[in-house]
Amino acid sequence: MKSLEQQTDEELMILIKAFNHDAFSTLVTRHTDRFYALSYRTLFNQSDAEDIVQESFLKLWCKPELWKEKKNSKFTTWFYRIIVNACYDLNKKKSSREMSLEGDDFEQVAEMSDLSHHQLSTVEAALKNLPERQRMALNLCFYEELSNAEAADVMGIRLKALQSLIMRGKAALKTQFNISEVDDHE
Amino acid sequence: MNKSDEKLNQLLNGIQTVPSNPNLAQRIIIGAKAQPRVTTSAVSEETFIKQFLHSLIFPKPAYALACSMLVGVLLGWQNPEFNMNTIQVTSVDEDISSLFLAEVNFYE
Repeated sequence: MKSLEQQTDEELMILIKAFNHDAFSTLVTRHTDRFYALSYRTLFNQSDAEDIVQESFLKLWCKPELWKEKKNSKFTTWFYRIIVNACYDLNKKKSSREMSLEGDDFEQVAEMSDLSHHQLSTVEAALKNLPERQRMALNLCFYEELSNAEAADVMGIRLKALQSLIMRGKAALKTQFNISEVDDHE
Repeated sequence: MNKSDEKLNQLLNGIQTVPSNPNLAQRIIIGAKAQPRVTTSAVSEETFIKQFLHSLIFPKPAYALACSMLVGVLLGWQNPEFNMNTIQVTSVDEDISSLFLAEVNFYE
């Protein structure tokens, strides 16, 4: 009989549905870093990224029936989707909060927000300035090394739409870093 | 991959993610233990119905056959020519008549 560490994610999910806390612990230990990294590169805030990962895993524990076992469906693809949507929701809340603040309140919150960020590097700042969906597409394909098909599935868009997002994201970054296509012909 | 893409990839690889707190996974695991969960016995009605229907795994031809038989039985039941009481009365009448005739023939 396989130990928990040898079980696949999908096998662990079956055990989690039967209230096996050890299976849940194994899954969390296995994937926390990966999903934290995605959240961080989306939000660029350590505590927000940790909150997203924690809330998503706790939601999984409380409602494991949300995971539907289907042929060829992977746990990681499904959970990526949950993390991505949670990040989008948090960004929406933050931007609507900022829009509703006025004058001094806005400055105060902005200051506090700056304190919680570490100093972003030029590259991070450039990524942060990208439109959300372009940034997410690059995150999934470049950093998480998902295939285009998987990344499109995670984002709930068509393959061509994803490829377009990646192309536009890369073009925007190249412009920011003054990397011109002329270099290709040298 | 062209040179501009390579340059861009080098830059993107230079990002250093701020690591999470080392106890993040532990916090999640401990937090889950404290969360109440609905036991499997408290199954929703919808889930129960789905599981029940799923247990009745019959192939479609079997359903078609069962429906045809049911329709046939219903039609036959409602058709007055095959009413059992009528048949019984008719057969009893015939029996009595034949007995009477037999009696008559015997005494003639």
